Amino acid sequence: MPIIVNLDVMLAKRKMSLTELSEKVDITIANLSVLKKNHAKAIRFSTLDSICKVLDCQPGDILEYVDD
Amino acid sequence: MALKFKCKHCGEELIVYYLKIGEQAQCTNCNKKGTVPETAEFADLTKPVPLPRTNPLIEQDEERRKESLREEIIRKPSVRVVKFALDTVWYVGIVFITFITLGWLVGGVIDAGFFSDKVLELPIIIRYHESTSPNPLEDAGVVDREDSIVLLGHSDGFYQVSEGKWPWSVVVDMILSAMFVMGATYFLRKIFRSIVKGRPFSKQNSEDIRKVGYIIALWGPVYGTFNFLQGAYYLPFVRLANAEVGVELNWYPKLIIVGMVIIAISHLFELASRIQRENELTI
Repeated sequence: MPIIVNLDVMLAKRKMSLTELSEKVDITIANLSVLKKNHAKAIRFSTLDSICKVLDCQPGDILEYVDD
Repeated sequence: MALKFKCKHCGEELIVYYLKIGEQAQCTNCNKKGTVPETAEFADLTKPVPLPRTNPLIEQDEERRKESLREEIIRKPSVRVVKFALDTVWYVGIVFITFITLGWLVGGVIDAGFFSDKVLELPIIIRYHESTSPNPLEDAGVVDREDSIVLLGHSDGFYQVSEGKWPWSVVVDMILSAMFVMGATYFLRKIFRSIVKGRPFSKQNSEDIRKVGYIIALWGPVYGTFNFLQGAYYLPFVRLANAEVGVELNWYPKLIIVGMVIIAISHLFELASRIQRENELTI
């Protein structure tokens, strides 16, 4: 899929662990891991909203389109 | 903070995202466990790095969730009853098939007469002439069961296997029926096990449900055809005074319909499993 999730990059920039993010956005580590590994099929606006709020970033910082 | 270190077993460079020094990690290359060493360095995640294929903590969490679901399902009385029923049918069926097959082989070899007094139920149509007495089967001495008397002109007939005729069809009939029941039970047990394990909606389950549907739908035509051939084989031996006899072909349409409904449900199940999978991957 040409949409890349750069969640790990944003986590590193904010010096935050996946566990900490999981607690703050109230999503299980398992689900965040699926998202981070680019295995997710879709992402809810509410999830994106929470992640952007916690990481203080824009959706574009997390999602990236790469032409195959 | 992500940490980078080399696996002490195989030397593969590993990156852990939330494990700390001293905690246990599993190598993605050799699958052996080891602790995150004190010499681990901070990983520079601004550069592209290979993502770990497995994560022991997530796997443990997932395993615990499945285990609790499994325990919750097994505790239900209805589940226990279904499990007992399916297991009983399966093991009794195995004993039954073994017994019948051995009996058939032994009976054929030593020409035993233990099948000679069996009564066959055949799909024979009987049409009586008007002058027939009210109980022609008894008059003919063919059968002594009152429920075999036909009042409306036709029905299933009964034929008592006469002496000296080894009823191969009785054995084939029983084995054929047992095989259908065993086939359906095999897949039902498989489906049941997957439900107990907490994976009810899976592609494998929908395929197994479809197989049960095919078995039930085919049961009617296969068994009906066999019954027809059996009736045709025994027809010359049926003697009835003042009556005409024929063979009826019955493909048990109700079974075909039930089988088709199960096949349709299996397609719904497959769709449900796909939707569930997509839902699981919607974060």
